[in-house]
Amino acid sequence: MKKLLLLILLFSVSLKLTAAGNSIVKGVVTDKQTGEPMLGAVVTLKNIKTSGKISTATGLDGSFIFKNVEQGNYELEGKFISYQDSETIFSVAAGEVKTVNISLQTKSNGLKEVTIAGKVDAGSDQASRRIEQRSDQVLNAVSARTIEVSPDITVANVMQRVSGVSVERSNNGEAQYPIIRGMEKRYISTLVNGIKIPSPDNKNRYVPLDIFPADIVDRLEIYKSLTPNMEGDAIAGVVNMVLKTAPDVFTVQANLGTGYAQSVSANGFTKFDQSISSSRSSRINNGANYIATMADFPNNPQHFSNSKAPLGTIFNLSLGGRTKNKKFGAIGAVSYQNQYRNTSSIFFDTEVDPATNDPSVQSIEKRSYSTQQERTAIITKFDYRFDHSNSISLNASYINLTQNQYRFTSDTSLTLGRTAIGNGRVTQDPRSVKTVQQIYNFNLQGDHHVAKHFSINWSAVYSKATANENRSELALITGRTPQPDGSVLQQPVSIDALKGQTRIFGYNTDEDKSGYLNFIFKPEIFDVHVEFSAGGMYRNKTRNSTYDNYTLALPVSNSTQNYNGNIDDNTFVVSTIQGTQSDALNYNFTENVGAAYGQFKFTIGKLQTLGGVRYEYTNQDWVSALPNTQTGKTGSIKYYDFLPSLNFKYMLNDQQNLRLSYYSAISRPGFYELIPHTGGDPDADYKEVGNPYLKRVTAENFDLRYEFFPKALDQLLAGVFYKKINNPIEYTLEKSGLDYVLKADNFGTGYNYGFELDVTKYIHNFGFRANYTYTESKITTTKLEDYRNGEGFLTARTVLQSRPLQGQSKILGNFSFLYKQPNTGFDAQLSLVYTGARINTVSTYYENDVWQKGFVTLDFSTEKRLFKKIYGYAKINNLLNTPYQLEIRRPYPMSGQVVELQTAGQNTFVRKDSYQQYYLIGLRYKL
Amino acid sequence: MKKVFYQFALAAGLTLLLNACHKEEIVNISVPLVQAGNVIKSDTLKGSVKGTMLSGKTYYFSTDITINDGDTLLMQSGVKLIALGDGKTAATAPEIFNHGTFISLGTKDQPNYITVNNAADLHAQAATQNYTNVFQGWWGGMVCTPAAATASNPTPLGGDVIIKWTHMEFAGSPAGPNNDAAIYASGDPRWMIYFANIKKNFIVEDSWFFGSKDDNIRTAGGKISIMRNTFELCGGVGGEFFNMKSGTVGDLAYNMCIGSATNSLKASDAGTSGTQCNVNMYNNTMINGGFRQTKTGRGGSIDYEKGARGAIYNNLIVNCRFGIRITSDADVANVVYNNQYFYGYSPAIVAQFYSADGVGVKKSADIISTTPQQNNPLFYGYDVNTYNFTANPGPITANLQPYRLLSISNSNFNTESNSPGINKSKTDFTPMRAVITTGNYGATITLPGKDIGAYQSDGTGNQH
Repeated sequence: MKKLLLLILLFSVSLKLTAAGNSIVKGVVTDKQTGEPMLGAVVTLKNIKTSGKISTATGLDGSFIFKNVEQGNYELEGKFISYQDSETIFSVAAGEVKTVNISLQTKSNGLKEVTIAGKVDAGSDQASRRIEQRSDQVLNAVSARTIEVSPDITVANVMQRVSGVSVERSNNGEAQYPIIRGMEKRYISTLVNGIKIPSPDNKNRYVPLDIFPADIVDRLEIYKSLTPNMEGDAIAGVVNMVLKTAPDVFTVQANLGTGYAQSVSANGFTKFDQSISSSRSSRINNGANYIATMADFPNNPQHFSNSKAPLGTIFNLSLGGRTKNKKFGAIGAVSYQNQYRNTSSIFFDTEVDPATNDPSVQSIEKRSYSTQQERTAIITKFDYRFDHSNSISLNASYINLTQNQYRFTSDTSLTLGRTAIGNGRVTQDPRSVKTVQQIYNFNLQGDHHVAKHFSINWSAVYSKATANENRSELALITGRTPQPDGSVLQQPVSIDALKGQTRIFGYNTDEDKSGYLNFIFKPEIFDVHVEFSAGGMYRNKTRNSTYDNYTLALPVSNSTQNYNGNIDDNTFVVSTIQGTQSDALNYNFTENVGAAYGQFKFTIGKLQTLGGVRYEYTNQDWVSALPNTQTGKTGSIKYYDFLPSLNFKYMLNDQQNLRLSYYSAISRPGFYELIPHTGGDPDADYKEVGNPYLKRVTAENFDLRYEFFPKALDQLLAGVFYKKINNPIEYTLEKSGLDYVLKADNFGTGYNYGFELDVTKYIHNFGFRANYTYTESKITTTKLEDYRNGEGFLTARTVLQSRPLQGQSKILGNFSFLYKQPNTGFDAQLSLVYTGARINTVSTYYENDVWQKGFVTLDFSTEKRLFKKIYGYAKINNLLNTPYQLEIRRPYPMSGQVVELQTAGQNTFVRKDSYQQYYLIGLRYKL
Repeated sequence: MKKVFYQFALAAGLTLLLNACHKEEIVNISVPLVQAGNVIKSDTLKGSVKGTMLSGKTYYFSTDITINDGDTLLMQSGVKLIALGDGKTAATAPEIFNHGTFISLGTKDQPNYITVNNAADLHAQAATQNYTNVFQGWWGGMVCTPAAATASNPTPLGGDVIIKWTHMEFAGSPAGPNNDAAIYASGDPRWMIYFANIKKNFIVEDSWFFGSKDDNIRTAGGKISIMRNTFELCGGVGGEFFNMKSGTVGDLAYNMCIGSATNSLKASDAGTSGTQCNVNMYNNTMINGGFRQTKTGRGGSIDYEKGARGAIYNNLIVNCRFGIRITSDADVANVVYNNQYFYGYSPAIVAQFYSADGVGVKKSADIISTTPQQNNPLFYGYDVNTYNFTANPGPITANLQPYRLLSISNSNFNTESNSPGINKSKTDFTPMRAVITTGNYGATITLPGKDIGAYQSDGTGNQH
């Protein structure tokens, strides 16, 4: 019986074998030029004899597999959009597991892609390795395809997926600035196609990355070490956005979607009348002697309306191709995003108790924001290849971020008029702000192979960033005042007679004219290929700023006016009739940076050495509108730096590298930080003041990293780093007169060291990426401590305190999980980011620094092919509704005011912002 | 050959590592321009000034003037100093920047004036109960601080400010570019006097203050003696007669305060001086204060806030919207008080003799009642019951307040011999005497008097 069964079994198995075969054909499809595995490539296996065909699509790691293949002769075809088809003929024996790898070549005429070595050397000569592996320096890269399937719609969002990178968010919860290895945004420079671009931000040099829609980027590169041919103003690293370039065949991509914020579902979204909100001030329009009247300040920005459930829009279209002879290529991309979201925030204004130095809360402020952001980007790139040795390209882009924000704050004093929960003085403040930030960038580049071993490349760049801000604020007063009989009286809402309305007009431009020139000489010396490069750059930057602040107060003859929600029922007079023409924020700042470098690179055996030195000269000059009776009306600062750099890469084998690098770098203070201004940022919790004596930061940096690339996209990166930072710039909370002010200052010498780990693993349809960074940093500075002296008087003494650097999280972690089913065109991604606690603001007072609590964010995205070339996608950001929270790590005192959110004995609560989830669904079309 | 390369690489590496070079910045930041002080030669003051303004003469200034560190500007008796301008912008509302010593030596017979050209017209308008122009702010007041440090003078000391028998009026136009942003934000109304110098003396005696737009005098540090002055009609929509912050130490006594927008005298340790605000307020008279302040929970006569300490005795507080207010964040344990005399026309005023949002409580020797219109102080020439505070509880626009409520005009605030305040003072404490009391320029400190209020039945106290 048993034998019979066995026989039947054997028979049936052999039947099946003859029917379908017992061989397997598998392999990986890669890009011939970059070596990157290609996901979604169509692979067809064709039996030459029978002409029978089966097809499949490659998975995340570029892999494919055909099972149950009969023995015989086959043709394997690999196909991908804008790539040449590849055909391989082979035979398969019975039971064989045949591996056939396919590498696809782009449909170009074989010319090398233009790379500009003087700014960023992507190292395209080692085409078989992935960017990170073959790079000359410590680098992480994110490809357009990774961005496409991620939940991210701005470049800033993408950044947080990179190992050792966290982000700083704006008050609407949108990621805005990168923080590399926990180092502040000021230590990072931002490049577009390898060229530094000016920032439209009125406060910072660094460009807010949320201005860039993610879909215009072809590749995002994060350099964590510098080579001499890179600008030295990047202690923590460099973010390079490589914009899309012309493909070899005509390509169309389109994406249309809509978004919705959970936060607008409850109370709708507050809009304001923007009809006059892009104007300059009446002083700028009419001259310095103009006397402003109420006619110059219509009430439009204080007219509010509610929109029930506004839907966001996301749209982009890109078209590109080359002429038949492949000489001329063009690509144009248009991107538009429109988002509506609300934020709610609670903030405690804190000082210290004059007798105990414990935190003392002064007021509790509730803020609600309605923010509309519109991003428009137009990117074009044209290139012309004269011949195999000469090419030029022109890159012209325009980027616009328009933000309309309504904010309402209600601030209850906890010290005055407060005798119990629920009463006290209250100030309220409805505000509208329209900010338009724009960047224009024109970049002409040329690449010439002059002789066999000698090439030249150059760039001429003009770019301009502008920002215009119109702000309208109304100061209201109300309160719940304790009465002598113990009752609490609700006061009417009245207008603060002195402050009334504030109208602010801020405008700044930042204009760069730069030129880059590089010579590359690749001789062979003693049979060793050596690459010498030398070159230089010069940039003339001019930043102009104008600022006017008008107060519209109540007339003395009508000083007690209640507010019923309609400002048209109230009467105001202009009390600052000529604006603020001598405010320091009216300034012209010129910065000229000249640089020259020499660099060598050679490989002997398994060791690649890249080194050299860079010289950078900085010459800054400013004139502000301050009167000459004030410090810092004019200023000039000059310095130069020699910045050596040395990078060793030891290639243990094909799959493993060991890198050791050293570089020296600097960080220049921002213009806003140097100009001796007071105030200027409506969102700062404290008034900000400038510091003309601020010095640049200098740092010596060391990196050691081990890299393992077992196969395809898989990788393991592990490294340690050490930075010695001289004169780090930090924002500190100081007293000035009766107020606390925020001021940038240099703080001795800081140290920053740690390790990072980055693992990526793909198993056909599944993939996961994880990274972890641990950073220890330390700086010791002098602080004040308030106390009551022996005679019973309140006074203060100085003490030393050690702490981490500002913005430095000890632990950063990322985890993302991907699933992709190529046959049905389905994929999904879940991304988690952990950002450890870090110092948000440094206090003047001992042990009173304000910390941002550690937090976890979770985002989800999914995409599914619906028709042939149309995909549907959905993204959900901030699944966990993670708040932004600040605290002082000092117990709230037992004697402190009893108030919600503060618990005696626990850390003092400072701020909490909640953003809620954001949903996006749409369609994507790829030709 | 490869060896050669290794050696080259090593050598190059080491050389580079040793040679990172960050050249020190060459910094050239403009410092405040200081003009040498010019001795006064004509009746027009300009730029940096020093010297003596001669008795009986009138002087003018139409642009900001500065008294440099180490210099002195002195007004003999009977001098008028007139600020010229329309007050609408900082450029047309001159200010006195005092980084040195300022002395005004008026006398009872020959008082001095620091005022504006159209003062008579403004007084006339005020008398018709029209304060719109009065509170416009016509000049920039006087800011007294040490000069900014320069390379040649790294620690300027500043100087004393001594003001005797002087009328100061109508300051308050918006601050402008020449102002230190730590003191005034651009566009803020300026005060009649701002004094901030923890080591120097600020003496104000027997003087008159009228028509300041916001705070009349503010101190952020200083040794003070404020005696026997008259404060009238200051603060259009808010503001104190005398507002003290951290570092202020001294006495305020025998001052007659009428018609303040908010408090008459306010002490707070807000600020950075490291010296606690510690002031005594005794034998002052305060009337009709606090009604123009539109904000809730502010006070209307005497206020101790945020870490301030000191003694409060023998003050006569009549028809002020709020009486003594000691907030819970004051240095409550070190604020001592007693022997206050309160009068209130309306139940609302009576209920707030000790402000309900403060922690002050009735003391044993207070003259205080829970009934309106009890304990009339019996002024010689002022009826405390003419104005209906019940119908007008505040906040109120200035132009609805009768002139007599806000200024001395022809009233007389001496008390009759049968006033309940006679002989009810505490006299067994000593003033702080924080200032110099010797010589021509020294302070004349009047000790606590036996009658409550600024006017004593023996003729001492306030001499106006």
